[in-house]
Amino acid sequence: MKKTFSIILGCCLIVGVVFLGTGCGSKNNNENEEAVTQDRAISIDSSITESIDAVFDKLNSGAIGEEEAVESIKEIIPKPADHPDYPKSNVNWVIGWGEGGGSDLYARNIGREAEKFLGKSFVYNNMPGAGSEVGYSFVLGQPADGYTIFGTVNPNMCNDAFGDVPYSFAEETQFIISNQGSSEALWVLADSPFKTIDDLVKYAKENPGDVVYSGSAAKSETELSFYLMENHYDIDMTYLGFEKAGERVSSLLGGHAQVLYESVGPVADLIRAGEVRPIVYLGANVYDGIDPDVPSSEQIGLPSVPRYRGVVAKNGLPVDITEYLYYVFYAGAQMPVYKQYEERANLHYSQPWSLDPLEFKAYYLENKKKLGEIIEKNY
Amino acid sequence: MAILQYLHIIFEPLNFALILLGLVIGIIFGMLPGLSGVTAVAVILPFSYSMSPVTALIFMSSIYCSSVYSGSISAILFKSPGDAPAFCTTFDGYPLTLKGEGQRALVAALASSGIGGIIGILIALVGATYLARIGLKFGPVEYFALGILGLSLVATVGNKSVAKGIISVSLGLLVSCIGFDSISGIQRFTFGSINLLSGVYFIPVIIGLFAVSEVFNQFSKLPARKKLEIKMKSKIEKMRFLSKEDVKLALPHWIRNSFVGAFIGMLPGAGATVSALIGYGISHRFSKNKDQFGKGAIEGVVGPETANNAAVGGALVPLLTLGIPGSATTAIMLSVFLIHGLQPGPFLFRNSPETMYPIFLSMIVINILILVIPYFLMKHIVRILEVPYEYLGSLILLLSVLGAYALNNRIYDVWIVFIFGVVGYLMNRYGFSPAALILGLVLGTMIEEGYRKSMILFRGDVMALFDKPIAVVLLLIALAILIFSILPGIKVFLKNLAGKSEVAK
Repeated sequence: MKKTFSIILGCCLIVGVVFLGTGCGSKNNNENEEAVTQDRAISIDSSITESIDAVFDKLNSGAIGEEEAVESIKEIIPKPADHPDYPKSNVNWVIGWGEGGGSDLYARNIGREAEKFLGKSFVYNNMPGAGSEVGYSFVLGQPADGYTIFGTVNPNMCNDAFGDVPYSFAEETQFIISNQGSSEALWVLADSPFKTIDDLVKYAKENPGDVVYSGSAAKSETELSFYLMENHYDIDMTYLGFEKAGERVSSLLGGHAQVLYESVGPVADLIRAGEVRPIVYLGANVYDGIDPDVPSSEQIGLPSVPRYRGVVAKNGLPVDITEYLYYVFYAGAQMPVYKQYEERANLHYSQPWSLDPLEFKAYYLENKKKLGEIIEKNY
Repeated sequence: MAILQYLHIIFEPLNFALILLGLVIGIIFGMLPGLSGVTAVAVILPFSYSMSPVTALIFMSSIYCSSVYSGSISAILFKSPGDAPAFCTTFDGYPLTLKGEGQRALVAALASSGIGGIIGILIALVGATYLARIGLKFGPVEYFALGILGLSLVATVGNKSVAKGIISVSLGLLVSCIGFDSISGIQRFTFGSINLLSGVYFIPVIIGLFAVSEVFNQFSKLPARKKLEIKMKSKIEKMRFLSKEDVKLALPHWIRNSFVGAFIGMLPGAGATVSALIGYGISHRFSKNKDQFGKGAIEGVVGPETANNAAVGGALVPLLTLGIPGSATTAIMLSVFLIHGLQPGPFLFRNSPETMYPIFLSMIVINILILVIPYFLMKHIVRILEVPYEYLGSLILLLSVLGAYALNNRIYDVWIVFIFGVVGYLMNRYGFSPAALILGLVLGTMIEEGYRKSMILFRGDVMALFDKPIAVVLLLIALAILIFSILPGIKVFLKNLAGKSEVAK
């Protein structure tokens, strides 16, 4: 009897060790990659993106099939000049948030399409915690060889601006692409007395502190947008932060808050049911599918910190691989299945939105500076 | 009864096969500490892209329901709750196992899970729209009051010394403060560590305090364990369903806790773990054998198991009527709806009854299967206890470490498991209650944030609390419970005082 158990237990231990071994191995097996020093700056060739667009035009008009489109795009995208065999193995995608959340779905959906051009698979690794900084600090510990990438969202920028982390995201990061923009709005209940943002501002001026504004946890882009709005209109409101989207939406529906900052997704059916309505869209776009008469924050000059989603890697990623990955994701974001996901998740309101590595970095730095100013003024 | 016309969908070969497969996956994932129903549902999420929405959701529901049930198996047999909501089941389930009545506890957990699950779903099905509106009334103040009520209900259970109980709860409250404070954004007790910044997640703490510390404890007295194993073996042979007396004891708990569990499961800020806690506390309050709680009362298994399975049905209410997920698993199910172009919300039932009703029906069928299938496996499951503890204990340690790592793919959680394993061992040894620590940890954030957010809303005016009837009622109940629990103590104290003064005369 004892012998059998020893054998079983022994086997279990060996299996466990093997699992751990392979887990660690896959992260390090690319470390011996020949380091090629490159001095040239990143340059995105617009003729390549245009040819990719042209192929998708053909695909969307039905002139060619998807397989054919994928093949011709693969030929259009130039292989990394100094790393012609990249990627030799699967690429590890670190997601700083839990399974099933927005960042997780973004990674898995765009990843599934981008794989078709990459020729290798993405291995998704959810490492939630501390507003995705746990996952990011893991990425910083990996070699910058293109085999570990990271999905980034606003909280990285906020944490960076607040200096809450022992590194600077802007300096440690190689930006690759951002292809999801803002799809947020300020929502009120359908029968709210605030018909427009002006009503809200007027009421808040007359009754300082009475308007309760519901958004994400402290130091988030939502809270910063709240301060931007307070400062812009010179009003005084009360901020109530919740970590889960469910709690935020409940706080509006239950009457605990009068205004809600939220993406379209969590309230989509409530809009259709006529329970909530937007009073201002955040960012540049007006969401015609919801209500074309409501203005966007850019139209009325209200500053905000719109959300974005994108892919980055550790700084030091070879220039040619950065460019290659940019084209791969650029194409992936235009695949019909991905578009379909964006639409179903109500993220298509954020389109058109596409930033290349340089634009993404510039956007990041500009907004981080803006955040720095709000932080200095309000904290 | 129009709903029954959809019954055939469940018994389509593929759907029914997936229900059975989901049952197996759910039971395995639910039993292993660290791996939970959420993990299993997340793992199969990519496969669901190619399924029809009904099939995918039936599959997921099957995993969800069975994993919440099976957490109780390892909680009862090894004191290592397989899933967070099952941790209250260890309070009485494990003492029952040590008494050699593990099988009775397992069957009670099984029956309570199935019954709680079915009633919970029926409640969700019948009262969804109405209940969801009541749930919305729960704002910060109400969550604060609910947390206080939970503390007052459970804090006194099974503690030999009140002072040690208070110390344990406070330790839990302290641990719940670690990390990023979501209201002010201040970092508390993080010492510059990114991992501590993300706080101390309560699942690794539970694994450490219960599973690992119990392994240490048993290893420290192996010879005594041997005698126990002989005792347990002698009782394993007889396999029977709950006795009449047990059913009589359990019946009121089944009914009451199903409603309580379903309601608390519905609140996005509470969920199955909190409902198990409160279910346990309520069972203790209403039980005739209060002093048996914590030492192996069968009602202490029935109460939380009914409540946490009823919470599964409850968690569906806000998801389906308002598009707000009530728990982590329902949040993943929400993305299945979205992937298939279905938007959960007020229109869901009206627009796609052919999707919605089969899901509800399938969950009832799954709970009936939970009542039947594991019962026949029980005989074999209990035999795990025949494994000599040297091997069993090592295996539990191994699974705890793997499970903790698998939670968030980071080694930090494994450290938490070991640290709290040692803490739990010492606490047990010196008569402190690890359960009270978890209580503080689970309810601490809810109470603290609820209170601080209320104060923001009330602008510091405590009296504004009295405008909130639900909160006032909950707090009054909590106060009454506290008074009743210290009343006997006060009487004894007064008696002693009187006695002393008489002596002095």
